[in-house]
Amino acid sequence: MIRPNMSFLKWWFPLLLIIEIGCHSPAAKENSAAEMEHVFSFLEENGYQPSSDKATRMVLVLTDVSCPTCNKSYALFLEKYVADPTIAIVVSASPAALDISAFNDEKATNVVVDHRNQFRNLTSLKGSGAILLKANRIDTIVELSAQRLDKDFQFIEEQLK
Amino acid sequence: MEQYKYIVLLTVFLVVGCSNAQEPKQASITPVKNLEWQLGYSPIEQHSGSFINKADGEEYIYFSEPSTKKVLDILTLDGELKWHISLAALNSLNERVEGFQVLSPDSILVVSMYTNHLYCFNSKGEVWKHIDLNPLLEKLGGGKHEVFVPSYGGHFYKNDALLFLGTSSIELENEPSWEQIDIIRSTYNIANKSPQCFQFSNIFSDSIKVRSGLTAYTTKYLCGKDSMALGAFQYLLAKDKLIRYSEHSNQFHLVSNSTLEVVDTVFARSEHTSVGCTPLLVELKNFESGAIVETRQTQGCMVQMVHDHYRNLYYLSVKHDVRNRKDLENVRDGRGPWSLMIYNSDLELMNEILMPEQTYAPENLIVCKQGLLIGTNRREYKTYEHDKAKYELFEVVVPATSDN
Repeated sequence: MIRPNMSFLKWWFPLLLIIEIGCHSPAAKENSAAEMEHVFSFLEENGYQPSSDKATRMVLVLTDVSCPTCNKSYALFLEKYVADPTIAIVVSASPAALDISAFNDEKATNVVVDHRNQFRNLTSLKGSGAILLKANRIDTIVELSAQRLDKDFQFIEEQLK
Repeated sequence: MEQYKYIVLLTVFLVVGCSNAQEPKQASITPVKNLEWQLGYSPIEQHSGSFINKADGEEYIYFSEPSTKKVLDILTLDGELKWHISLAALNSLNERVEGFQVLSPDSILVVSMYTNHLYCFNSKGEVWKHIDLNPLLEKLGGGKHEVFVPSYGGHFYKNDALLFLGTSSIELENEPSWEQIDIIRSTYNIANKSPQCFQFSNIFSDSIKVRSGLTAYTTKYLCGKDSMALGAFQYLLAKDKLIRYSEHSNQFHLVSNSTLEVVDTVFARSEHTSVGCTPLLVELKNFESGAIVETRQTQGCMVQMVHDHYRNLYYLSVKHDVRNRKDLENVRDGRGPWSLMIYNSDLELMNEILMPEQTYAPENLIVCKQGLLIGTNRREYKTYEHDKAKYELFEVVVPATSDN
């Protein structure tokens, strides 16, 4: 009878354990937390006042990158969230490229106008889209796409219900 | 020894011949002063320019913000505001602005984005003339056409005629995103074979005429039939010349006003950089928008050409290839060094001036009587101010003996 050589288990299990721990190491979470810290520092430096009793649920970002028609639709879509203190709206679009007059309203207390287009350096979101937050960490990033624009809007809307 | 005589004579002829060659005289620019206009907005180059007002013979600078504030300001170079014109009528027209050219305070030409309409505003902000270019373009056949003004500003109207670059079969209302690459490929495949220049003449009459030209210009002169020449629509409508140029070439092309076809080619040679971004293959399988951005932001290319009608010179900005820079993030996207090439009226290079990085915007040149204005207020610069127009005025020094 041939007995399996079990000696490899001596190093195999510890190796698996290391790999497992490595995969679930908090590095990703730390990155997300660090990213979020940068995002909130940016928002607060630019006048965003988070709600005192409710956590910020989402950061909605409007740019003039890529599809102009999508950005125009997105600007109209975002108007209904102006003045919601649980949402931060970052307007990185140049006012020369996109009509952003709705975001200059006095009621728009949750809007940060990113004059120098610096927000794009803070997360992986480079165009218009949404950053969904959970427990003050980045949970999901949605970058708008012309191909699935309606679905993207629907998804964001559902998350905000 | 007889043969040496000939060699010596030949050498003398060659030396004398070379030394007698007519080198174009050097022109140069000198910074004179910083100019700032507090406008409440920061205009982009497409909506800025200068014009001579026939009514008083004076030159004015104009800045507009037709998207959000929807205003036009016309000023003297000394900063005196002469006209502040509301363009609120754009709200009811539901149009975005592609092109802007001020002929006078009562003749403000606005070309709509995607929809091929021309509106003429007066100083009260009223539209006194509207031309729908679509029925005229349809007469040409070949599917839908879309017209474009010079990408970084400049004239599209001259002598009662409009001149646009154009492309075919773009979905006018819904510009495809880079994820819709199949649509983009088919668009470019068709556009590559189509007319790429449209001229409308007698525009202030009831019998506007339209004609097209520069058919298949992209494939003939820029990148071959299997490539996409992406990016800006660049052309210069000067006093007596129409010049087509592109990010994808190291040549600019003189176009005949009568045939709308290329009649001559001039090479843009720089001592500091290669010129011309690599075109992208239409059938590239793993085509990504990132590749386009990378190409346009890091390779050397022609950016903007303007005509100085006061001195009869041409200025061409050429941004440098920065792919080998270790601090690439700081110098990409037009923030790196660039050259100002100065050409005489025969398009002979007179000088190449190295411009410092992160200081002057290569896409924002405005000619005025006192010299050349170069924009200094770019969103990417640390000194950016969102409510101002900022320029440096350069005096242009041309040798007295020059034929310019």
